[in-house]
Amino acid sequence: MLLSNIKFFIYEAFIGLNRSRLMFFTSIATIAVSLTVFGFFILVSVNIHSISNYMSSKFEILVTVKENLPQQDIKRLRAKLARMPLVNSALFVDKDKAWVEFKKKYTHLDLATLIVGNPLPHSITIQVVELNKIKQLVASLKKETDSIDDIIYSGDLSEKLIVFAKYSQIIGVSIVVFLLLATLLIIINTIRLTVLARIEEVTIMQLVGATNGLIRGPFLFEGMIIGLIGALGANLILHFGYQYITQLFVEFAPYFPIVSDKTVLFSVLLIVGTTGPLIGLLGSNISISRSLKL
Amino acid sequence: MIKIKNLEKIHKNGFKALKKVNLHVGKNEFIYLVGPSGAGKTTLLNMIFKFDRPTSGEIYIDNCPLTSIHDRQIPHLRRNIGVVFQDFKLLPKRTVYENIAFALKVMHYSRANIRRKVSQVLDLVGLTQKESYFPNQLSGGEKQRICIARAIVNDPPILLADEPTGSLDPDTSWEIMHLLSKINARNTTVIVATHNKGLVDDLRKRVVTLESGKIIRDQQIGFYQ
Ligand SMILES: Nc1ncnc2c1ncn2[C@@H]1O[C@H](COP(=O)(O)OP(=O)(O)OP(=O)(O)O)[C@@H](O)[C@H]1O
Ligand SMILES: [Mg+2]
Repeated sequence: MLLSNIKFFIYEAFIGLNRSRLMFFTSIATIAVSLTVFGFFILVSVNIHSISNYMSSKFEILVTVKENLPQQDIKRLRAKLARMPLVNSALFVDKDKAWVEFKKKYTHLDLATLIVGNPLPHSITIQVVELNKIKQLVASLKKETDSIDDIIYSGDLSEKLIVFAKYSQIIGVSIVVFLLLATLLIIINTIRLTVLARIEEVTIMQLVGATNGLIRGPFLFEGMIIGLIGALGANLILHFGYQYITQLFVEFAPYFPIVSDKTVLFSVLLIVGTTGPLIGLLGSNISISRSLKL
Repeated sequence: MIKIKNLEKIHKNGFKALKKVNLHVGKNEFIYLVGPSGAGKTTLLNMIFKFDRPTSGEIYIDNCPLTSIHDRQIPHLRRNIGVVFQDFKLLPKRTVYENIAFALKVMHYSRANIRRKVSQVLDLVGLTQKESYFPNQLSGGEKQRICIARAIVNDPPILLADEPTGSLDPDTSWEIMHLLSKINARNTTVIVATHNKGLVDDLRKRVVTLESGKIIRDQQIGFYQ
């Protein structure tokens, strides 16, 4: 009985799809576009997340140590800093090594003649656990007046980055929700039109004793097919589009940390691929309940 | 078979379409339901297969009160009641065969059973040779016979016909009434709502007359008055 039901749904659904080809084509196209933008925004927010992670990993606080502080005290200071809860790691940088590195980096300047000796102090570089705790950490570092000379960090930039990540997340989520609602509305409307186009058939089905499940079936199936085909279209565009974009970045902005991990892309394709048919089912279900009062 | 008790229907606009209707229909009876336009015939028939709901009162079918039937069980009720309409309600894009088979398909009959049942019923209504025609290739009388065939293809114990001859010429109307009598003779309770005075007077069956929502006459061998 279940098998014959499914055969009935598929048969009836394709009669419906065939009858209003143009309408289905346009709604599939609209859904494909809307799901493409949906997937694109997921990819954008994945990338924003990765950028802000990347930037927080680059965020360091440089603490310069007071001149003439004995080696033991420096060691003790480093250990103390490393134990602080907001600190991820604290690394001692010897001033001589730092000077060598510095000179390597700026070979085009004739530093040897410009500067005599090593002007750099000993320092400790600190990596933060969380970007938005950086102010708090700096405040507690400032209490170490005996050993710490200066605290160097880009507080302004870190703040801006936090705000940017937060807002882009809010905007991204709103756009995604909005697009899902739009897709849902398109499907509700398309199925409503197919129900109206077949209201005669539906009434006859009711009169000859068809169960509501049997009446709903073909429409649910149609909604799912529309969502599925739309999602497949969106996935094709997303797959090739994203490959193209990552290629562009690799070529022209190789330092930009674009997410090129295949599993990330495939997860997004999977999300879009399941969202399409699910929205299709939900939309046609809402639509049938409204127009048939079943 | 069918018992109607104090049935009332008041429409949303306050119009009383049925007023305290009481009626008993025995097993395998044949009844004409007559009365002027707007008397409430269609309203009454629609209530018997739960296509419409009464405001108060009750209908029992085989002693089962219809108000106790849950929405989900309505399809099963309707499988026991064949319905024929004045405007046929055939699917235009399906053949005669498919139109009749559709009803059985909906009831989950097997393909072999559908084949057998549809041929039998086409034979009964005398349209075997037209099974691959589309509705628009049929005459009015033929369409009505197909509609009757669809209504009885699964042998329901009750057949309701709402003005089955409304749009047919006198000869064809006769054929249809004879077909309905034939079906009645095969152990089916039949209720026919009609305006057709000549037929009612000639066929000498039980006649129930409705007027402005009330039963004003119920005669065993009746006339249309
Ligand atoms: N939804 C409605 N709202 C208000 N009044 C209605 C509604 N449906 C039907 N009626 C009224 O109920 C009355 C009975 O209608 P019904 O269709 O049962 O008459 P009938 O006896 O079948 O007439 P006919 O012989 O012309 O088919 C009519 O006067 C009609 O106007
Ligand atoms: Mg009527």
